[in-house]
Amino acid sequence: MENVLLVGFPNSGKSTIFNMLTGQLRKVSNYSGVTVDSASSELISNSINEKKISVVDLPGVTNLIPTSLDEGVTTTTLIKDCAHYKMIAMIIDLDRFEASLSLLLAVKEILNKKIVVIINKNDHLLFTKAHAQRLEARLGLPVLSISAINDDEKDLDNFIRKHQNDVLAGETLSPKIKIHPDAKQFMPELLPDNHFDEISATEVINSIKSHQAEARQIINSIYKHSTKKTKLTENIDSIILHKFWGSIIFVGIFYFIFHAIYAWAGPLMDFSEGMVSALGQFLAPHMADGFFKSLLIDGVIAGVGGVVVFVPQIMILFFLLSLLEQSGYISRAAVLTDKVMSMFGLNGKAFLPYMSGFACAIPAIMAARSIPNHKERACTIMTIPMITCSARLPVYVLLIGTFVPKITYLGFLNSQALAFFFLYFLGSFFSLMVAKIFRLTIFKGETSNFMIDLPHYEKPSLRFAFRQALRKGKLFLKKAGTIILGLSILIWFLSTFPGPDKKLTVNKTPEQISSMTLEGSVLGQTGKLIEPVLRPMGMNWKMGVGLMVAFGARELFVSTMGTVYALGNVDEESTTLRERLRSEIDPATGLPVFTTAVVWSLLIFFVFALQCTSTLAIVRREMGSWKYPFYMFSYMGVLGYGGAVLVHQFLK
Amino acid sequence: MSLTLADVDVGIEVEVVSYDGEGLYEFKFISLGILPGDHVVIQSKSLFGGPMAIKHGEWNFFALRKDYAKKIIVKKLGE
Repeated sequence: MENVLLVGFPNSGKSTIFNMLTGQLRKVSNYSGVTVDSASSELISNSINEKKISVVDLPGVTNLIPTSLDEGVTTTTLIKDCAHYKMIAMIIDLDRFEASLSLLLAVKEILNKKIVVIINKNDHLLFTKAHAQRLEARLGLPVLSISAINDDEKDLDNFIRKHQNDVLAGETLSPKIKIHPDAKQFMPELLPDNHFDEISATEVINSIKSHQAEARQIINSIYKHSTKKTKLTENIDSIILHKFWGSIIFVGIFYFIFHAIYAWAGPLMDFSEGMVSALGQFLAPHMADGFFKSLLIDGVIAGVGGVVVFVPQIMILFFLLSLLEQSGYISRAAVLTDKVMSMFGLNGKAFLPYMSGFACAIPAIMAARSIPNHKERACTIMTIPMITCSARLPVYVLLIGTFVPKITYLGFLNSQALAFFFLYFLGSFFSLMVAKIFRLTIFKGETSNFMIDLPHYEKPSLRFAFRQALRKGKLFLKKAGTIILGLSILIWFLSTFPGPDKKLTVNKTPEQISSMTLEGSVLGQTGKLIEPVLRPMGMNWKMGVGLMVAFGARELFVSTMGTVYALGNVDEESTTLRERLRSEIDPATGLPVFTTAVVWSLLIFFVFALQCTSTLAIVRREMGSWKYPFYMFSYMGVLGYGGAVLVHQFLK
Repeated sequence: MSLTLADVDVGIEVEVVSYDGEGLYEFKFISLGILPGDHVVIQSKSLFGGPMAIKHGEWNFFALRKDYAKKIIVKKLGE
C-alpha cells in the first residue's frame, strides 16, 4: 500500500476530496499515535488497479508551525513519518490562493518529496489550463485544477495514480523543520536535533513572510483578476452587507426559501404520497391476503413511502442553497448572522443549518458540513433536531386544533396561532440554549470564525444546482431509507403480533379488528406495561402506543391514534377522530381523558423528544459514531419527559 | 493609542503596520497573508458590532470579527 497525504488549509475542501477518492468509507484512525482524528482510507479505484493506494486526510493548517495539537498532527506526520508516505497532495484553495500557495512553498522548502498540487474550488472555471501550465512551470510540480463540489473523482484519481509513478532524485528521508520554542508543546513526538532545530519567533515569522511574498509574486505573474468583477463585487456588497438593507434582503431571501420548501414541496409531496399508495393499491389485488401482503403493503411500502415523501423538500432546499452558494451569498449570510450566533457560542455558518431545521432536521444536519470546526459542527448537529420541523406539524394541528379553544385576544391575536407560535419559539429557544450549554461544557472552545472569505459574486449555474439537489436526494434515499426500511418492518411486526383471538373477531368491522390486533400486539402490551411511566405525564397506554410508534417518525402519531381509536385511515383534519378524542371518557373517573393538562403534556413531549429514526441514522452517518445519536436521543428524551411531567403536574 | 483596523471608517484605505497582542495573532494574520505594508479598505460594518467586510489588496475580500480587527494596527495612507 502506498500512502498519499492530503495537506491544505482548513476548509479548503480536503475532506470533500478525501471522500471523493475513497467513496466516503471514512475510517477514523489515529495516525501517528496522536489522539487527534485523522482519516486514512483506500482509493475506490484500488479494486480495478494493480497498484494499491491509500490517502490520509490530515487536519487543516495555515502554516507548518502549529498553534494547537490538531495542527501539530499535520507537521508531526510530515516530518516524523516521512519514510511511510510516497507523495503529498497539496490542496490549494482558490478563494485563498495566495496564503495556501505560501503553505505549499513552506512544505516544498523542507521536504524533497513527490508533491502534486490540486487547485480546488475552481467552481466557475476561472483557473484555466493555461494558468495551470504556467503554475506548473513556476513551481516545477504537477498541477490539476478541480471543483470538488461539481466534478467527479475520475480526473483526480488518474492524476494521483499517474504521478505516483514519477521518479524523484534525492528524496528527503529525514527532514528537519525550524520552529520557535513555543511550538514544541504541540508536537510532543518530535525530537530535538532529529526532527527540528530551534530558532527565534521573529525568524519563524520572517520565513512565513518570505513565503507569502513569493506566493504573491508567483500569482501576480500567472493570474490576473478582472477589475470589472472586483468592482461588481464591491458594488453588490455595499447593498448586501449594508447595515440596514443587508438585513432586509437577508430576511427576504430566507423567507423565500422557507416559503418554497412549504409551498413548492406540497404538491410534490402529495404526488409522491399518491405514487406510494397507488403502488400499494396496484399490488394489493395481485397478492393473496395474509402475512406477506400485510408486511409488504402496511409495513414496507407504507414505511418507506413515509420517507420518500421528504425527498422533494430535501431537493428543493439543496437546489436553492446551491444557487446561493454558487453566487457567493452564503458567506455574506454568515457575516450578517455571526454576531447573533456568537452569543450562543456558535458562528455565522451555523445559521443556515438551523434555518433549514424548520423544514426538516435531515437536510439541516447535512448542511452543517460547511462548519469547519469539529466541536461547533457537533454542537450544531446535536441541537438542530429541537427546531420545530415540518413532521411535528400534523401532531400540532391535531392537538391544538382539537383542544385549544378558539379565542381572540385584543381583536387580532388568535389563541390557536399563539399556541403554534409558542411551540415554535420553545423549540428554537431551547435548541440555542442547549447549544450554549454544550459550548460551555462538552464541546468547549472559542468560536472559531476567525476569517470568512468573501468570494467574488458569480452567476450560479442551474445545472450544477440541479445536480447537487439530485445527489443529496439520492444520498438521503440510500442511507436513511435502508434504516427506515428495517424499522418499518420492525414496527409492523410489533404492532401485528401475536394477533387477536380468531373467535373474538367474528362479526367485527375491519377497523375494530385492527384495533384489537394493536391492543393485543407486542406494542400494545408494551404500552400497557409502561403505563406507570406514562402516568406522571397524564397519559394512558393508547397515547403511549402513539408515542412509541412516533419514535419511528412523528407523523405516525396521527395515524396510530386513528388505529387505536379504530377509525381506519385518518389524517389530522379528520373530524371524526377529533370528535372521538374529545368524547373519550376515563372509565375510572368519568371525566374526559384529554384534559388541557394532558394535551399540553403531549405537545411539550413532541417539542423536545427526538422521535425520528431518520435523524438518528443521519447523525450516525455524519458524525461517524453511534455515540452522538445516543446522547442526542437521551438528552432530548430527558427534556421531553421532564417537560411533559412538569407541565402536567402544573396544569392538573 | 495607535489606530486599529476596527477604528477605521467605511471606505477609507489604510496600510497595515503591525499586530497587537500576543505573538499568536501575528502568526495567524501573516499565515493568512495579511502582511505589513498591505493596503486594506473597510467595505462595510455589521449591526451590533458584528464582523466587518474588508477589501485586501487589489481583489481579495474577507470579513473579520471586530475583536480580531482590533488586533491589526494600521495607519492612514501618506502618514
